[in-house]
Amino acid sequence: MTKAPPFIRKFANHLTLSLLDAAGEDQREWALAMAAEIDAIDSHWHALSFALGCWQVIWRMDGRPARWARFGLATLICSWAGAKAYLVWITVPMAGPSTNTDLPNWIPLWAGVAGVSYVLTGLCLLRRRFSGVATGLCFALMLNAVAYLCILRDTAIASPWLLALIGEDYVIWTMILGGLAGISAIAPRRGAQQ
Amino acid sequence: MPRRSNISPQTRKVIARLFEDPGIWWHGYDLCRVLELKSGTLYPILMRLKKQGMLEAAWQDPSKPGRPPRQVYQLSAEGRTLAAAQKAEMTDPIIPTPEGSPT
Repeated sequence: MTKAPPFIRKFANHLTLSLLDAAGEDQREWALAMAAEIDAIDSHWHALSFALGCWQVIWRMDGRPARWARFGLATLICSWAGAKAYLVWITVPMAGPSTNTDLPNWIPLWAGVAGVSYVLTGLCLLRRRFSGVATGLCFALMLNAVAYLCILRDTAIASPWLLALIGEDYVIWTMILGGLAGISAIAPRRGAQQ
Repeated sequence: MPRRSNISPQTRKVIARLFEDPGIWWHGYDLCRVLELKSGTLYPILMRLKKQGMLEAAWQDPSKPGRPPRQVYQLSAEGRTLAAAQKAEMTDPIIPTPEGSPT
């Protein structure tokens, strides 16, 4: 009985298959070549690293069918950044000593910084600077995670709408990652139509 | 002063390595390991070189049954000419070599 491949290898194989789907007609041969190399790599982690690099190559080359998806994702990111900026605008007056809210002053500032980070992430996505996208998302997520943990420690300042807003970041991040992964399934059909 | 070609350092590495053993066909993964380049860096270079006619590619029968055929690469005649010129450029005493490059 053959042993089931570990998760890392399964993920690398999945990336390989999606690579073949995502490649346009003029990249097909190169995609097949890259997929064959991934199959020949014995180390699972090396195979995953190789597959991620190959995906980056196809993504950069086949920009035309995925352009509308990048614009959509960038719009989503910037819309969320706008919502965060609005949070700063509406909560800063509320954080003064004359209000009843226990919201600390630094929460809106952090939300604003996270919002700026999202805008920069959206710009990186438009420019296909994927390392910038990863960095921006991780940075914004880290800011929100820290704020969330601080609020959890001091439940007196926990606001249901604030917790929901910070929690939404995780949903947005999952949607973005899912969207990026889903482009491999939709991009070839758009390319064929064009 | 002769103008130095504007090939990237990574491309120079690939060309130089393929030129060291001109008769040998290389797999993509082996080139990545030997040159310590990521696949995301190497394959655009290979694509560009092939498009320019500097690189030849061929499909090799799989070593094990059930495995897909792998593509192998070597420099074309034009690529070998470029590599020789590049090597001469690097060792030309008139043209200053960039810092950190092998002499």
